[in-house]
Amino acid sequence: MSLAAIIFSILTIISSLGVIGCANPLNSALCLVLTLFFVAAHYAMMGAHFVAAIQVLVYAGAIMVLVIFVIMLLGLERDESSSDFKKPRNVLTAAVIGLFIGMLIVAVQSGVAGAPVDGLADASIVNDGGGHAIGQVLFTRYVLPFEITGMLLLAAIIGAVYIAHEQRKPLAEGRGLKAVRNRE
Amino acid sequence: MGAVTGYLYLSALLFSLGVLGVLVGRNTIVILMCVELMLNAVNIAFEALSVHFQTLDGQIAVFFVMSVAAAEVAVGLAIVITLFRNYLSVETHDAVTLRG
Repeated sequence: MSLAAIIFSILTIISSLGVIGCANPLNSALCLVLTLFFVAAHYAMMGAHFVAAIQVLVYAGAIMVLVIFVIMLLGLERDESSSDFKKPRNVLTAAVIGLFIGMLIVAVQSGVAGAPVDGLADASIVNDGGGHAIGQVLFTRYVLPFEITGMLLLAAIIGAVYIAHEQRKPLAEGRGLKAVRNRE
Repeated sequence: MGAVTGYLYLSALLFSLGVLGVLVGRNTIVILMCVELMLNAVNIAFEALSVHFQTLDGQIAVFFVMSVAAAEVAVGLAIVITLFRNYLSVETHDAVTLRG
């Protein structure tokens, strides 16, 4: 890895720590936007400029705007209790995750060391930034998954509209509802 | 350290942070965002290996993961809005209707 890649990796890790560490959901969302930009920078440094552009447009542009929109709509930016790491159960969880990281690192060490670089595809395909070649492969070899993805997005849109639009009576009195009642 | 190894380490770390966020977080929107973090970690691994082996399959996989993530966020946020409408809260410990 080059020096720039290492620096961007550290920045990626720090901003993703912000996602899980921030008490305010809005701050978490902004940290996630930052993380997505850093990931896009990694893509650009790997030579996949097209994927980097898509990452910024789709993820940071569309998906995160939707998330932030919902946070502002529900008024959650005033909440200050997303997670606390003090509880013993959460300390245990963090320890298990540490073990998980260790296992993944061992897997990477034992797996990649002997992996050969085979010359099946020509290097020029990947090295031109990818837009032309990706389009060609996407609409020939992967045309069926591409169409199925379109159906998936249609189903997701219909499902989201149905779930969010339907008016129901409240199922039960959650803590938030009780808090509102008590305030009144 | 080769380039691909470094990126796989980064991917493993990001994925683990996403899992930690899902397990520890109490706000459902933050949990959704941590799922996005995990998907991004997998995308980094796909991209690094795609460049390493000089094939385009990994980059195609990144596209599909991105579109599935978009669908997942749309449905997930709709569920969060319904949750908020029913409980006036999006914290996981407030949605306890199914608790025995």
